[in-house]
Amino acid sequence: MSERSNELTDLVGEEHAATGHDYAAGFVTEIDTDTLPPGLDEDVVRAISAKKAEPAWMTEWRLDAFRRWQEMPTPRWAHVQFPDIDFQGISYFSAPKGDAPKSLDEVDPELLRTYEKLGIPLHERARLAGVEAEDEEAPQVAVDAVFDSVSVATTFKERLAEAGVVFCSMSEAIQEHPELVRKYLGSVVPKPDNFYAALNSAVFSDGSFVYVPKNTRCPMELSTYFRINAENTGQFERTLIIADEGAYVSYLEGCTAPMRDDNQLHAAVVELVALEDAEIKYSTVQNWYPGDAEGNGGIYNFVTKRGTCLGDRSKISWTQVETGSAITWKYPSVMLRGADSVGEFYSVALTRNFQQADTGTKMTHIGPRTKSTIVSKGISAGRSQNSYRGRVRMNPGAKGARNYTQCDSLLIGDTCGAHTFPYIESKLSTAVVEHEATTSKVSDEQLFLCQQRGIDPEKAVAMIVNGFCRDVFRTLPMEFAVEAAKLLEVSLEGAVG
Amino acid sequence: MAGLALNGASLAEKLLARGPTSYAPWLDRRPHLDLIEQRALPELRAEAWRHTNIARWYETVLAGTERATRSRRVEFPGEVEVVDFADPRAAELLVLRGEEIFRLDAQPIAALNGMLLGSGVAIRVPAGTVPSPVRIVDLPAAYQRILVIVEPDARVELIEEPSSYTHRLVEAVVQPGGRLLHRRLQAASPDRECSLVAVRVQANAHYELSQLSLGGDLRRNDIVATLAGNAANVTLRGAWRLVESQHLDNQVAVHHDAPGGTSRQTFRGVADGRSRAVLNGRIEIAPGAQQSDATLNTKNLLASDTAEVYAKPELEIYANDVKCSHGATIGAIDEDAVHYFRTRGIDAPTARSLFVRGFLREAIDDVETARRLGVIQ
Repeated sequence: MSERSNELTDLVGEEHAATGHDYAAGFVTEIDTDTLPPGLDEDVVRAISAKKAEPAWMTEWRLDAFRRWQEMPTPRWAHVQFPDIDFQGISYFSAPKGDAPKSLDEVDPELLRTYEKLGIPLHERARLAGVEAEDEEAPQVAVDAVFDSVSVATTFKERLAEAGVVFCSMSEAIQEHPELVRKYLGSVVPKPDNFYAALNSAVFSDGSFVYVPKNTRCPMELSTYFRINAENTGQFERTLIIADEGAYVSYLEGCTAPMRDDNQLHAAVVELVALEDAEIKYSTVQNWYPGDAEGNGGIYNFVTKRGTCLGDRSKISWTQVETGSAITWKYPSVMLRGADSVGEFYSVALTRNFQQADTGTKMTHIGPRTKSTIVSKGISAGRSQNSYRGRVRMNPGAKGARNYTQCDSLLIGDTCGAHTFPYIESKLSTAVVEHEATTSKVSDEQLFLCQQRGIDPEKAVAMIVNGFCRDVFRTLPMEFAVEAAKLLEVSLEGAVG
Repeated sequence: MAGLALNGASLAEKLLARGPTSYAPWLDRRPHLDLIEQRALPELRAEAWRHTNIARWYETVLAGTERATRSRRVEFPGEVEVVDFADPRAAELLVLRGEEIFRLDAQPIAALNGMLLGSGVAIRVPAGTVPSPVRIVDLPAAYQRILVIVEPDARVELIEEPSSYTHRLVEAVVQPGGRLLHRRLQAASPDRECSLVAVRVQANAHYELSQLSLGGDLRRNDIVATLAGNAANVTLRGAWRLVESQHLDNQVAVHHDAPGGTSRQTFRGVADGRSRAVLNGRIEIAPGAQQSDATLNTKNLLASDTAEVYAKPELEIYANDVKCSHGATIGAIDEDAVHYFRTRGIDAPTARSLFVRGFLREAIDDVETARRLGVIQ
C-alpha cells in the first residue's frame, strides 16, 4: 500500500520539477509608484492619513490604534513558525503614481492589463473567469480592484447606486459616508482586538466599503480583487460591509501577488454587520504567492475577519478557499447576537511545499436559538503544516442554540502535518454543540479504482480531493466554484504524492 | 484580590526559602529544583490552566497540609514486589523504569512533587505473572509518588482507592506484552488536588485506564500515555459527575510514537449545579508512527444553566497512513427520552437518573464502584 504512495510521490515529483512554477499570477507590473520609505512611527501613520486627506477624527483613530499596538506583544499561539518580522523594514504605503482616476477610462492601461492577465477584467461588460458565454443574462459582478495600498477602480458604481447600494473604496467612504464609517468601523473588530488588527487599524490604506440599504437585494455580486505588486511593502486593507434590515449581499474576494524571495506581510481586517433579517455571504479565494518549493518567499497572511449578526434572524456566511500564502493566520468568525441568527463557516485549506496554515473560525452564540455550522476541509501535502483552530462558545443567553462542526483533514505524503484544535465551551443546558473531526490519507482503494479505469494517479487524486471538498465548493457562487476547483487542481499539480 | 493571587514565581520564591523535603534522600531533586528556580511554574492564565485557577491550588501548596499521622496502606499479593519509595531498592526500580516517561517542562507542577515528596511506593510485577489486584488504599503526606513496572507478559490490575493528596504522581511502564488495568477512583473532596499519570507502553503491551471522578473543590488530572513500541494499545475511559461548585479538569495526551498503535478514549461527564468540567484531550501522532489508529470521544451533559463545560479535543498528526478521529458533544438530558420513560410509569427524577446512568455507562464498566462513589445513583 504505502509503496504505491511512494511511487506516486516520485511520479508527480518529477513532473513538478519538469513543469517548474505553476503560480500564474506571479508576475510583476512595471509601474511608477509613490511609496513611503520603510519604517513605522506616528509620522508615518499621519502621512498615510494625510495622503488620503482624511478628517481629523480618522487620523486620531489611527494614532490611538498605533499607540495601543506598540504596547501589544506579538502573538505566538498559532501552530506556525517564522522569524520575527521587522516592522521597521516594511514600507506601509505604496500606490501607483498620479491622481486617483475618476472613472475607468482614466485608469492606467498597464493596470488594466494586469487585472486582465489575472482574469479579472475591469471592463463593465466582462465576466469573471470561468464563465465562458458572453450571454447578457449571465450574472454580472462589480469589482473593486485594490493595487498595493489603493483602490484603483470600482466598476458598476452607477448601476449599484440606482439600487441605493454603496460600493466604493474605504478612502472614498471616509470622505462620502463618514457617519456610517464612524458608526461601524472598529465596532466588530475593535482596534486592540489583536496585534495585527491593531497594526491594520493604524496603517490601513484602502479596501472596500459596502452599504446595502433596507430591504434591498444587491442586484449583482460584489467583489474585491487585492493585488500586492510593490516590493518590500505590506498590504493592510480594511473592508467594511453593512447590510441594513432585510438586505442581502454576496461578496467575493480574490487576491494574488508576484513571486519574490522575500516574505511580504498582508494584515487585513474585514468587518461585517448584518442588521435584522439581513444576510451577508462572503466568499474568498485566497491565492497569495505561497513561496517556492524550498519555502523561500511568499506572503504572510495574518488576517482578522469577523461578522456580527446584530439583528434578529440575520445571517452571515463565510466561505473560504485557501490555497496561497506562505503562512495563513485567519479565523473568519461570527458573533451571533440577534435571536435566531445564523452563522456559517465553510473552508477548504490546501497547503503544500513549506506552507503553513492555522485557520478556522469562532462562533460566539449570544442570542437565543442562534445556529452555527462549521465545515472545514484541510488538505496537507509536501512538508506543509495545516491546522484547524476553532472556538464554539455558548454564552448564558443562548437558550436553545445549536452548533454543528465537521473538520476533516486529508494527508498527502508522509512529511506533512494535519492538526485540529477546537475549543468547545458551553454555559447553558439547552444549547447543543456537536463536533466531529477525522484525519486520513487519500484512500488506496479509491486511487486503485480510478487507475483501473485509466485515470492517471494525479488526476485521480485531484478528483478525490475535489470530492472531499464538495461540501464547501457547493456553497460558493458559481463563478467562484469553477475558479476554486481549477485553482485546487493547479495547486495539487506536483504536490500530490 | 486578583492582584494578590499567588503566581508561579512568588510561590517558587517562598518554597525555595523553605528548601526541599528530606524523604527518599537518594532521589535526584536537581531537575525539580532547577525548574522551580528558573521560575518555570505555570503562571495564572497559562494555556494549560485556562479553565482552572492555579492560584487556588498554589495557596494549598503554600499552606502545606500536614497529614503525617496517616499511615501507608497498600494491599498486594505475594508475587508482587512493593517497596517504600524511601527504600534504596526504589532507586533500583527507578533505573528499571528507564528514561523519563514525561517531559518535566511540559508538566512543570510535577517539579513540586519532586521537591516536596513525602511518601510513595515502587511496585514491580515480575515477568509472566498474573497476580491479583494491587490496591493503593492510602499514602501519608501531601506529595506522593507511585511507580509501577509491569515486566514482560505480566498482567495486573492497579486500583487507586479514593484518598486525598495535594499532588500525586503515578508513573507506569508496561513492558513488551504486558498489561496494566489501572482503576482510579476519585470521591468527592473538599480539597484542592492535582495528579499526573504518566505511562509508557512498549511493544504489544496494553494499558487501560478506567477513571471515575466526582469533583473536588479543585481537582485536576493530567494523563500522558505514550505508545512507545510497535502495536501498543491504550484505552482510556473516564466518567464524572459534578454537583454544586465542584471543579474537575482532565488534561489528557496520547502520544503515538511507534507504528501500528491503537488508542481509544471515551469520556462521559455530567455537570450540575454551578460546577465546571474541563476535558482537554490530545492525540499526537509522531513522524513515522504509521498505521496508527486513534480515536477520542467525549460527550457531556449540562444539567443546569449555571454549570460550565469546556472541551478541547485536539489532533496533532505528522504521519499520513493513519486513522484518527475525535468527536465531542455538549447538550442537555434528552427530554424526549425522559418522556418515553414517563409514558411507561417511571417518574421524571427516576427517569433522569436512569438516563444519566446509561449515559455514563458508555465510559464505565464497574457499576458497583460507580454507585459506591456516588457517580451514579
